[in-house]
Amino acid sequence: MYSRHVVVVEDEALLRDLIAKTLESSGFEVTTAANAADAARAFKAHDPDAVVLDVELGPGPTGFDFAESLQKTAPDVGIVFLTNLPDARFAGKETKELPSKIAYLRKSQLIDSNELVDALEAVLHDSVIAGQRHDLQSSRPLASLSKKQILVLQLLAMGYTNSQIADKRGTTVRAVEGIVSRIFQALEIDVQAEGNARVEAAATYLRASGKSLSDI
Amino acid sequence: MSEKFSTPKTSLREAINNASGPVALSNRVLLQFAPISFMLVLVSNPSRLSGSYIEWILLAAVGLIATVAVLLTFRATVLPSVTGREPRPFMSSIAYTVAGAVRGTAVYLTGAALGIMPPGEFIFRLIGGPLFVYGAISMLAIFNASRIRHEKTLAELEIEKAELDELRGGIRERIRLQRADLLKRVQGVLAPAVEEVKTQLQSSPSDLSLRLRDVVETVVRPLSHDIGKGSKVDQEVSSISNRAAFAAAKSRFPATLSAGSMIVPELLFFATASIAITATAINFPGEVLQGSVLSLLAVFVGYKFFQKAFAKVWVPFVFALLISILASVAVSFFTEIVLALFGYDLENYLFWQFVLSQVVLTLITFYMQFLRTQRQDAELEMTRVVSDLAILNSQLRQEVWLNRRRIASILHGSVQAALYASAIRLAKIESPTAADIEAVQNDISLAISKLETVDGAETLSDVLEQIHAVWEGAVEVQLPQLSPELKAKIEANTVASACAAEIVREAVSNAVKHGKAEHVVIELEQTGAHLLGITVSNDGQPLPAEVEAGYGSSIMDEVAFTWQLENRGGFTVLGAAIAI
Repeated sequence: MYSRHVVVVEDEALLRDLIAKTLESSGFEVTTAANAADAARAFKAHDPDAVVLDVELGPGPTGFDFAESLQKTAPDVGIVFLTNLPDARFAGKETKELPSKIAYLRKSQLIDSNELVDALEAVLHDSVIAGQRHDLQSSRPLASLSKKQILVLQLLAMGYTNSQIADKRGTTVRAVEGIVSRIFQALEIDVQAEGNARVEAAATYLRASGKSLSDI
Repeated sequence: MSEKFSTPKTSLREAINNASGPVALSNRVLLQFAPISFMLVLVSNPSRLSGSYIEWILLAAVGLIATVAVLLTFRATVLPSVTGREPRPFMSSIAYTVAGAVRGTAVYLTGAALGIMPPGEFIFRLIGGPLFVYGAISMLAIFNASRIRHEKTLAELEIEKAELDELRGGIRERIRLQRADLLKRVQGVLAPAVEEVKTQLQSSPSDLSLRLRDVVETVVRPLSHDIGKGSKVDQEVSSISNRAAFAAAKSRFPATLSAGSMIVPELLFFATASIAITATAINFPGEVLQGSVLSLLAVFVGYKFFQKAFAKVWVPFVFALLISILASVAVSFFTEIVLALFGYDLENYLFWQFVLSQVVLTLITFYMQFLRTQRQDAELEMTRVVSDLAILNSQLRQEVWLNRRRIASILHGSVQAALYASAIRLAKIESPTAADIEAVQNDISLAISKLETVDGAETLSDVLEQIHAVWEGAVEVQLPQLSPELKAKIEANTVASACAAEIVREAVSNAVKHGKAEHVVIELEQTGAHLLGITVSNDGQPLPAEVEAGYGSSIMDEVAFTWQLENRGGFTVLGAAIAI
């Protein structure tokens, strides 16, 4: 007999089924959804206790969009983000914009599926611990950069010049130069050393985000 | 049906402005004035007055030198030929009157000294000279000002085109880098995954590595083929570049012309003035004013009639030319009839001189209008090219964006998910069997097979429905009613469709998150031949005075042709146009 109902929102069928089986074997009743709209319909039909939510769900609303909607319609539902994104900044959002009582797990750290079950239990009991917030870990990529710096770094990685970045942000070139300089400092990139500091910064960003030029 | 080449209209105000502007006294205009000045003297005098051609050539030279000397004096003092100088109609009128009067006096005095100029000629040369100078310089000024403006416009368009070309080059380079990056990433993602699986399956059959290498090949090859193949925009770029070259070279010969537009009554009026006055002064010395006014009125009304009557008659070049010539002959006869009705019948030889002069003036006007037609066509074509290039660049930016999303979908969607799932599954198995290994390979193959349908699986309508479903209960989202034609057009263009979906998604998300909106209205409409207009209005908090550029605006910059966010009538409205 299942005691809790969970909706798993994951656009990749393989992972979706695997997560569903893992949770079912841990005593959860599971409904799966391939996108945010299916998830919304599943919520209406089942009124579940929690959701395991990917952020990138293909074309259409993202996991963050769905979480935002849930905050208005079902604020008591537990949310576990299960995603490739190191943290919300990589999707142009501040971590503080996310609902407070959530767990945030990175897929790359999920070889042990018990971690997911533990996180789900934690959000259901309002007892999320630091280890279940991968997006807040100090060891996460580019942890020392602000959202604004991440945005500028993304533009830099796309090959934009300082002048173009200033244009896009509606600021001065001098302001962008200041941000870029602080980014180099935070990433410990030696601007005097041989090689191009911008290329190195871009490469660092790509490595950190683990995602080529996507979502820039 | 042949393409119609419209001719720019010539207004009296434009004529006056050009005649009194900086171009009017430029070296080029004064040089072009020389043959006309010579021609007038040689056509209208030797046949009716005594004197040899040598003597009249001498008189023509004296007239020209006198005219140019006065005009140069004005240019050096009060009418500088400097770019940007405002037109000075009053001062210019004085200059032409003085120059014409000096010309008339110089020609008369020289002619009298040579014994070939009767005393009665003085008055009409004093009147005809200024009119001739005014008329001729006006015509030449209009012609040259049009040329200069045309060259300036073309130069500006060239600069704009060059900037767009450069931008396009940059985008193309980014697409190229993306493709290269994609291949590198696919290998980068797969290689360690393969190693990991191999480590976990040390006791597995020996063909595992071969199978996984096959996987790499199966992933990399379709990608390199798919992403490496030429973009559909390549051909469009080539076609547009050809049009640009054509426009810059001004080399399009008009297929059909408006016969009426090739006739310019205002110019012909001015140009005829001195001839008409000459003719009446010779025949009716006591009634120069009445005769001149009558003949000029007849000329103006006659040409105006033909201009209007043939304005919508679109014919090939040769026919347009014939119509102009026939019109000039007809106007000459009409003028003669009007003059005869009032008792100012011209002498036979003067009438035929008048006809000849009208034909010559009409040919000159025709030539000017023809060049102006070509120039206008070149400018219009160039403007269209620049506009097309801007649309094309926007489409390229869309491709770049979609390319990136595609890369993300490939690397972090199917393939990576398959690898994670395999890794998790295998971690639970102590001793994998051949069936387990087979399952791993099947998973990866399945993920790879999805590469063909990464985008395009969901239409814009699907995404709009998703947006509605996701926000239902939290926010009221009103979806657009699309006509079947527009829906088909959007969905036929998967790139534009994906971009439109992303803009709408981002706008609704921001309206709810930042604006705390409760009601959002989405509207879509075709706003141009290649533009789809997207409007997302919400009743949330108005925008702050300064909206910081962020992730949302970055996406807008990438995929939208134009976009703006504004407070309007109590609503916050995002308006965007995307190339389609």
